[in-house]
Amino acid sequence: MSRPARRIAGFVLRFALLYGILVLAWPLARPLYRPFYCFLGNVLFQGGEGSATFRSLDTDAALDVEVMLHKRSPPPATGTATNNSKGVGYLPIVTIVALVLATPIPWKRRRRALWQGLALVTLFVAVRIGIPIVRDFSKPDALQVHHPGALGVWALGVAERALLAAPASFFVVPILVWALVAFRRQDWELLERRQPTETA
Amino acid sequence: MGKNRKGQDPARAARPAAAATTPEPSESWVRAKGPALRFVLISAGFMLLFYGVFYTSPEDSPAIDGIIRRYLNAYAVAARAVLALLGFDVQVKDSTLFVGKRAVDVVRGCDAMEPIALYVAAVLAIQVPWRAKLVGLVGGVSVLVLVNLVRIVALAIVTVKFHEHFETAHVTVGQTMYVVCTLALWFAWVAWATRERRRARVAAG
Repeated sequence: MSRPARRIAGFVLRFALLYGILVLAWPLARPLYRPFYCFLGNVLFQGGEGSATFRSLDTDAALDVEVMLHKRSPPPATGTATNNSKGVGYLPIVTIVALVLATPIPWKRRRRALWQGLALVTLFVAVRIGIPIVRDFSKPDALQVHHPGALGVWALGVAERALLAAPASFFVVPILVWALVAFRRQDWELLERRQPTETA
Repeated sequence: MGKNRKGQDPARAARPAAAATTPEPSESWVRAKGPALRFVLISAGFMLLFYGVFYTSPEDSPAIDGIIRRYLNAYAVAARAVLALLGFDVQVKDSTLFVGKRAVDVVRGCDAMEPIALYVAAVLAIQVPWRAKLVGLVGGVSVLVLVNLVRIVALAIVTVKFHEHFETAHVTVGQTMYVVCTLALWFAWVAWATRERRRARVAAG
C-alpha cells in the first residue's frame, strides 16, 4: 500500500471510529449537550415580537426539547413545537470533532482547528435551530410575525429541506468547515502547486 | 526597497514592535486560509446551486420531481435485479421494493444526491487539469452510485432478516459509511490527480 493510500485509510478509519464512539456516547453526552442546546436557542431566539423559549423535556425520546412560541404583538398567540437536540445539534458537532481529531496534523494545530471548527459549526447549529422558528412565525396563521415575499418563502423551504431535513444535512457544512479550519496555506499549496514546466 | 537588518520593511519597522511583528489578525487568517477559503467558497457555491435546484419543493418544480422519481425508480429496479441474483423474491412498484412481507421505499434522500453533489463540488474546486477532473467526476460518481446501490440492497436485506435493526442500519451506519466512502474516494482521487506533482517534489528533493 502506497504512503498516500495508508494515510487516507488511517484517516478514514480514525474518523469512523471516533464518530461511532461519539454517536454511541449520546446517552452520556445528553445531560450536558441538551441544556447547552436550550441555552443557545434561548439566547438567540428569546425576545422580540416573535419569541421562542427552549426547555429540556425529561425524556429519552428523540424529540427531547420543547419550544414555546410566543407572538407578542396583538393579538398575542402561543404555539409549541418539539426539537431533536441530537439530530439538529449534536451530530454536526460530533462530525466536526471526529474529522478534526482524525486529521493527521500536529496536536497543537488540531486543538486550534477544533476550537475554530466548534465555533463555526455552533453557528451552523444556530441556523438549523432558527429555520423552523422563522418558518413557524412566517406561516399565515395566528402566530404570523414575519411576512416574507415569494422569494423568501422559497428560500426558507429550500433551507429547511437542504440544511435540516436532508439525510446528510449534518455532514455537508461540517466537512466544509473542516476543510477551512484544519488545513493551512502550505498544505493546499503542496496539493495544488503547478508542476514545473520542462524546457528543451 | 530599503530593508532594515532583520529584513523588515522600514515602514513596518517604524511601528511599535508588537504591530510590526504581528500582522492584522484578520489579514493573517485570510492569508493563511486563502486556498482553503477558495476551495470552500467554490464548493459552497456549487452546493447552494444544487440545493436551490434539487430542494425546491416538488409542487414548485414538477419537472425536476419527475426526473428524480424516475431516478429513484431506476435504483429500485437495479436493486431488484441484485436481490433476485441473491435469491430474494422481489417486486417493484414505482420506487418501492417489496421483499417478502416487507417493503423498502427508496425515497428522496436515499438517492445519495447530496454526498454525490458534495463530491462533485470538491472535485471541481481543486486546481488540477480538466482531464483529471473529468476522470474524477465520471469514475467517482459511478463508484458512488454503485456504493449507494449496495447500500439500498443491504438495507433491503436488513429489513427482511434483521428488521429491528433497520433504523440503526439506515440512519446511523448506512449514512455514516456512505459519507466516509465519499470522503475516502475524494482523497483517493486527489492523491491520484496530484501524483505527478508529488513525484516531481520527491525528485527535486
